[in-house]
Amino acid sequence: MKQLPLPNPFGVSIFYLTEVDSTMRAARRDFGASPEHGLVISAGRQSAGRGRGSGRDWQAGQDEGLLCTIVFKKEAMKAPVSSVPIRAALAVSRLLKQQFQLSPLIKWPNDVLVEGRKICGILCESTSEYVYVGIGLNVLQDEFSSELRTPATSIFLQSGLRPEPVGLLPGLLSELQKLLMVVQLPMLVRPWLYRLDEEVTLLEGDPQLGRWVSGIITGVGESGELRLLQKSGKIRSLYSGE
Amino acid sequence: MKKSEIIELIEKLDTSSLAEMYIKDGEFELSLKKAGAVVQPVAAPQHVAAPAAAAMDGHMSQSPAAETPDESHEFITAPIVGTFYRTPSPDSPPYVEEGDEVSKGDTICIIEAMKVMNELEAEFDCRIKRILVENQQMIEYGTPLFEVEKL
Repeated sequence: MKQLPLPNPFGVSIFYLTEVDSTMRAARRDFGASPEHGLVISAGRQSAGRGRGSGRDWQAGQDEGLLCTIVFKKEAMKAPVSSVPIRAALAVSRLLKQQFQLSPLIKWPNDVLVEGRKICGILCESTSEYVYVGIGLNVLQDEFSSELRTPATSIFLQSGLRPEPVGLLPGLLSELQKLLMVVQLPMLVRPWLYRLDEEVTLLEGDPQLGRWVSGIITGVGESGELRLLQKSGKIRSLYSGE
Repeated sequence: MKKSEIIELIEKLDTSSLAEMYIKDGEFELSLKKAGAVVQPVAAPQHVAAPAAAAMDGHMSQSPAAETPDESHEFITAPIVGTFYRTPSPDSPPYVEEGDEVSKGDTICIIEAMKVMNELEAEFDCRIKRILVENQQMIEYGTPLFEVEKL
């Protein structure tokens, strides 16, 4: 494990591991009971990227993606914990637009898409004191298996540029730092929402249960919940689903 | 939309069971919310039972989990809306089984909301008497999750 000589606006270390089971597991396991707010654990490769459900493993060769877990102390954030994934998705989206002139959209609750293809996935774990934000961003991949559940893309495939994945961290962290303190989340997220104002059918709760919900996406709430206008005229808030 | 139609809508909303309304017609957008309205997420929340005081304040009599209220029964309730998971990952064993003794600070389940896996910790040493919800079940704020006995 080495420390990267990169600026972290939270003023704490950015660690890098050549290979790890998952940065989330490493963050939970190897940094003690009271890690610092803003600590980053990144890796060149993950052998067991985490997620619920099978076939969701991240596809990235050595140093092809930005794979990291960022640790936040709940008491140091203004944001409700449930809104952290969409805030992280917004941070990634802004970075992709600013640095690569891409037009990303946020697929509620936790994916970033470019031209309808997944470029970034986010998964968080929350304990009584901490929230661990796991981010997988496709950077240098020049192809993806057609067997992936969701079609994927990368920064290289979209822009032709080949940035060093960990080099994106300072920009990403500075966006995250701003967004964790912002209060008007619904207004900020709205223009970035995938399929805004369109009728959608989503799975509520655990996807394996097959509970379908339909409605028009009108935005998100302060907690990050998706707001759907249903045929009955009622607004329904979704807290769990995809 | 005419002013008179908007006023009519406001009156209709006021007397309806709706808490809020959103209309979009071309470039026209209207969002109405009843004063004092609390927008219920998905379904009406069940009675909120504070973990330590549930059996004493009588609220549990309205909970599906309550049979004969007994002063020794304590419940751990859901602090948030989400999906209940008994295991850390789909192929791992459950955090707790009925009959297990847990210590304060032990993780007893996960409640997933917006892809945040919220680990719920026991707030006191206790024995899990009954698990009241199924794995993957959608739960509301205040749903009783575990019947426990304080140790």
